Amino acid sequence: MTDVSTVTDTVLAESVTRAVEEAVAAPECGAVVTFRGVVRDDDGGRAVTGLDYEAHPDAAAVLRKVCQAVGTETGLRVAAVHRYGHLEVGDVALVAAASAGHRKEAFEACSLLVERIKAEVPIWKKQQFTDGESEWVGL
Amino acid sequence: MIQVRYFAAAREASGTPAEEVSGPTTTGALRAALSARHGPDLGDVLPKCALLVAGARAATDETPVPDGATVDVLPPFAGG
Repeated sequence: MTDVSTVTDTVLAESVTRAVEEAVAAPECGAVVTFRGVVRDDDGGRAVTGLDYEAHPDAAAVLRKVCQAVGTETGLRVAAVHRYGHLEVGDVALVAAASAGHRKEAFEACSLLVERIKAEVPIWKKQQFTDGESEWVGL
Repeated sequence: MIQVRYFAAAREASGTPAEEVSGPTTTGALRAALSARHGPDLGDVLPKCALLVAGARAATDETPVPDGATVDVLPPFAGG
């Protein structure tokens, strides 16, 4: 169920979102919640032109471990794909999905999955501002 | 020798993706040696970084770093 989960430097097109959703879908699941993390044009009032994501060589393995752990803890199906490389405003950086019998559990599992990915997967991003400056996020 | 790999802001601050330093040592002594070698740019970033010694996150400055180990310098993660 988590085979689809990975990191990639290719564009996260609609087909990727569909693949993540299909990886968590099941006949008994009446709720599929999908989160898309999208590059925003602003950070704390400064205009952002794009983000450069960097992934550790183990990032895909860690992402799969996080998906497995969240799946085990919640008893639900979850999956996620994270992109790295240069992204422009509006580009999708993360697709994460969870399914459950009913919506509450699916929303909660998807939220937990995103929090855990942000905390545990070795990925970094550098913001490029319109004034030409840049800054690593989280330092 | 110990292989040190730098990522993201740590790579930028050190000016190199990887280098070798002499070992064995401890994580605390290694932090001091890397700061001394690369100066204030890395010195500002390094205290915020976790050290991964042979794949395991070092919990303290006393964590042994054996000769031949690979140490990853990991700034705070910022995925999503």
